[in-house]
Amino acid sequence: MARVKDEAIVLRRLPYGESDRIVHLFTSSSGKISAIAKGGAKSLRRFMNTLEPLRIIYVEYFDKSWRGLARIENAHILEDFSEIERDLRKFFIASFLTEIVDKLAKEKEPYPQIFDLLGAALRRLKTSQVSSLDTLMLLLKILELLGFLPNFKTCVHCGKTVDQKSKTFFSSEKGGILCGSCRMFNPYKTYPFELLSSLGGDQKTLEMDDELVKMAFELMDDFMKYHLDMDFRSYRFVKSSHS
Amino acid sequence: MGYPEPIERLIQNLTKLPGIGRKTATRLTFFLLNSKETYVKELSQSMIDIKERIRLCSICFNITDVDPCTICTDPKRDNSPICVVEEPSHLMVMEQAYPGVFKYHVLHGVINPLEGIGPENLKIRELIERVKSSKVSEVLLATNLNMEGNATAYHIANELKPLGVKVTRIASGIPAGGDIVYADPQTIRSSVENRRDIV
Repeated sequence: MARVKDEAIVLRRLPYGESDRIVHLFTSSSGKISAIAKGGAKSLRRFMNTLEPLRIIYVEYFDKSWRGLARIENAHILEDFSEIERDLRKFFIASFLTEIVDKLAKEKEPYPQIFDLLGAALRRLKTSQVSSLDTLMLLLKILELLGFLPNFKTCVHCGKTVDQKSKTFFSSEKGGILCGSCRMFNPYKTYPFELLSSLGGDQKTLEMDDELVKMAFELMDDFMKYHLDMDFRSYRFVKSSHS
Repeated sequence: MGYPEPIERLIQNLTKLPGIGRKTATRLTFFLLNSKETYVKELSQSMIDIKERIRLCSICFNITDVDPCTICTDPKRDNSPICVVEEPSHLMVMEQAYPGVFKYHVLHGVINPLEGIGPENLKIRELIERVKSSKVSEVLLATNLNMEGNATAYHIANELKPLGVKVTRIASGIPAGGDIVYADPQTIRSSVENRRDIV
């Protein structure tokens, strides 16, 4: 049984029995872990206000590699993002980003880039407004780092490069764009080429008007429902709170 | 050979209760079998009553057997602040600490996107309508002081702001019996912001 010291973002907490708490932590070195905090729900000393979502914490835990749950021994807050709670839209976005990481990241697989990205996103949400386009870019980046990004560059059926203005057919089922010939053999939806070519371009310089952003969220919703087979409960709040 | 059918049926039904396994259910069943018939009838009738007679108060949404509930119709509370709580059990805690002081509004949950609960799933719209349609001196937001409770409180406060009503939040800080050494910076900050004169 190894004692591990690490930084972690608290993704979720669940009550366990009368006084314990199970938390999902996204650690800097080991990725996602599920851990039990004995006395975490009631104790006035141990973990008081620490194991709450939207916090970056210092944590010491015993990793019982042969069993599922690690055991948290000690924790304190390094950064808290309680300002996010003041703005419902920011709260929805932060919840969505943590939910995606919580549900898609594999246990005990390090994702240092996502750890930094999620931390940076929370810092940004704490201090400034984040547009729907920013949220979309964060979603695409996290999905890319997790290996779940749809293919917006080449036809998912024949593999050929599709030129920008012909990028109008997207197949959620196939997980990417289709060329004009291959759309005959696959289910697809038609989108404006501006949308699909933007999504296939550089995500750091993504430019879209509000209407396209809304369409992009719908497209990603279809894609995630089909391929990830998970219900992201917070997604509907993010979609309905565009700005 | 198993138990007779009525006993087995009761055991099966009791195991559906939280925290009750087959052994405990069997023990309870034999306790009831050996109890007086009047007690068993009273027990079963009280269980039927909570399903048939308990409903939500149409004003505060607390659980009640009369509508409006006795708190809402209490004339001594006519000008009392409305204390907004998450659940009926929270109302009872507030009422024990401040008997007869508040009127209440029960939200039946908090905003929790991870559980798919948004403002529209709570009794927030009803609270706003209540404040609009009646003379309210103050709304005290007594949701839990965690992430979801705070987000819900800020949302309600923002919704009530245009109505000009005084909106307050229960204080947060070092709890009674708490040790300052174990408090996190946010709690310390909060307790300093909410400090008061001692004499």
